[in-house]
Amino acid sequence: MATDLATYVPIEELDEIPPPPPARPRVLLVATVLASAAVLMAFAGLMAVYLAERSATLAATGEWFPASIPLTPANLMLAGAGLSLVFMHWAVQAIGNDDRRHAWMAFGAVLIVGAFQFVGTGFLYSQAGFTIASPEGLVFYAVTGAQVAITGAGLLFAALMAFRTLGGQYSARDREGVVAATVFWWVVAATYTAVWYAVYVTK
Amino acid sequence: MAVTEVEAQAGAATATAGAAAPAPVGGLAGLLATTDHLTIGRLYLVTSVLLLVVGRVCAVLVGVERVDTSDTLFDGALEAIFSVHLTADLYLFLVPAFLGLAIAVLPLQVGAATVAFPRAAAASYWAWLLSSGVVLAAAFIDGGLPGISPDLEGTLLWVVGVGGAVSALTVGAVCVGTTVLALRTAGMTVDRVPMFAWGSLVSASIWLLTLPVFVAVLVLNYLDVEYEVASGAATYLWWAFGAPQVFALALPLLGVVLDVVPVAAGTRLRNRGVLLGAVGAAGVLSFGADLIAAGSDPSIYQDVLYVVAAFALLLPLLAILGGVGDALRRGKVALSAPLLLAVGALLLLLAGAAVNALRVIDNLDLVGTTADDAVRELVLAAGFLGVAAGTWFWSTKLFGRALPEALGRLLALVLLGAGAIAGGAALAAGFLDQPSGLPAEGAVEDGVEALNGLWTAGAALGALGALLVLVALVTGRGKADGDVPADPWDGHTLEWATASPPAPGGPGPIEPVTSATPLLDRKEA
Repeated sequence: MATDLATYVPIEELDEIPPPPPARPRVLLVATVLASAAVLMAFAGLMAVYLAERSATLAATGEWFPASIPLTPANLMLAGAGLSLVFMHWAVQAIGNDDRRHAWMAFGAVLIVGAFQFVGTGFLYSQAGFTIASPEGLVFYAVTGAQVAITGAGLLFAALMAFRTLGGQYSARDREGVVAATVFWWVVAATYTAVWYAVYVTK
Repeated sequence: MAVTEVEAQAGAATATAGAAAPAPVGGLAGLLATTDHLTIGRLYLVTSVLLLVVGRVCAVLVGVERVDTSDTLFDGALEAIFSVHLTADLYLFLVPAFLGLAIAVLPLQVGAATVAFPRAAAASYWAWLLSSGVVLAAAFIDGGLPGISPDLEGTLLWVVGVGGAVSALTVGAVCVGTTVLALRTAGMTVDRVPMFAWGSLVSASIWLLTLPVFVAVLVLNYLDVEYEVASGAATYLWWAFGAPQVFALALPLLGVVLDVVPVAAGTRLRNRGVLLGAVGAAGVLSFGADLIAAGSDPSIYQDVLYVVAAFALLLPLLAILGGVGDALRRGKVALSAPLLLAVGALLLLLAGAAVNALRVIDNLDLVGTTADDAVRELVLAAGFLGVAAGTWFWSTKLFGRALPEALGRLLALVLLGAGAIAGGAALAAGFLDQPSGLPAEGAVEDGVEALNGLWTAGAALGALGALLVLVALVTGRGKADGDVPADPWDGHTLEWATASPPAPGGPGPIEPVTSATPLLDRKEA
């Protein structure tokens, strides 16, 4: 760490040196929080339209979602979302201890469980029986598709941070990127939980 | 002997300060690859003013149609012209112009070397520019707002263009918000940031909470048009073009006003904490995304929350007017162009908020009439005045030269007239029950034609104002003789400690800030 920049100063001469520089600003983390808020709002907008359309259609026709769609894959995906959150925090903890091997294992587990979300959503699409060319199908595919897109973005972010960790950019001294990816993964989990409850459970 | 280790590494805010900058690449390649925050800000500013000319010309064309709807002058193209007028005024001018000002000025104000994520800021500009081109291209094939535009291909193109533009602006807002939150110099706590930086932070926050909702609804509309569903998704779009969202889009002008006025008056702002709170409250009260369903359920406009928020918005604006009036009363006022433009901006914004409060009075039946357009016209003119005030005020930092004072004063007069005439005429027509939206046959009653003519004249004045700004940018060029003062206004905040134009690589090491007006403190010491 830049040992050529280090200077040793007797403690009695400390008053003569300038104050220490400010702590490194957590630019990536702050930006991730702001971007996460934006993503959450976009998703909330879609979800609001979905619920409004469902409410109006149920009031008019009494029918919305095919009863045949199984809940088991959606439940498994919810468990996966929760598990992947644990794995993300495992990565943060591991890199905080400079334990890169476990950090990579945790990232790998997140990527695998995250990929499972795509498979699960694909299966549920095959069971939903909605065509997109209908008012119901339009909002259904918009909401669930947006959630899949958010999951994809979260996976890309996690993969990028995993590669950076692999390259030695993050360590116990600076794990900002890994924490930022974890913050965004909370958004992934929160949006899926909303889809699980509002779309699959309360059909 | 007791020793301790002192790392001599620079803080991030000054990490690149004073570092030898690589030789800049000139020409188009240099422009395309630039990550210089001043260049990106200038590009945003100039391009958005150019697009405002387009928007105002389209407003004039719509106005001409509104004067006499018995004969359609623009057969089949009126919907596209109307759509460009709405989109260009707000999302191709107002937001990007303030974003450009913020990207250019904020790093100087908070003592940062550059804007946060300069490459993302540059990408947001180029993506916005490309998307703006798509919006205009869509208009040429009769595309426009879903629900009113008959051409499906053109409508798809319009949705893609606006979605791209608004997404790009959202990225820019992340850069602006992060700059203020994370790149402030030592000692500059959030309550010590300059007012424009605070206004930009509040605006960026509200934009990040509302613009993504607009994008989400545009996605729905794309699917709706692409698969010919006719689900009525277009009704979810209209909140983005009306009150209170338009106030959120113009919000940074409050920061410009509160930075310009105390400097012009040569005094400090009293009750700074109250004014910071007022800007924040104005931001919260102009949140418009909750009206997403208003298109399909107009009764939302009678909700207690909506009515109370419309009236409550007046309070912070009046508090800011009080703060401005107090500073002007205590100081020695020189009627400079930035001061006239800034005060005009605040007055028109207040007028817009007053009309918005009138709108929600149930007995007046103004919702759905051209009173809706009156609010937008007033806020647009206020926003334009705010952009112009900031451009004139920081012109030595932005362009390395002072813009012509006389032209600035003339611009203040023109834009005040534009806002007052267009807003007043639209409000009066609203009282005569002229419906808002696309001019339709039979919608113009006897006696309203003259008001519509006045409204059109106001829009034309707005176009003239945009041309005046462009003229000022061209005529001011000759004054860049290398002898531009660093602090022409006797400023109070950090940006005036930098050279004009600022040196590449940031301001260099800065003493820890101990108040909101570090330069004024130094001058008074």
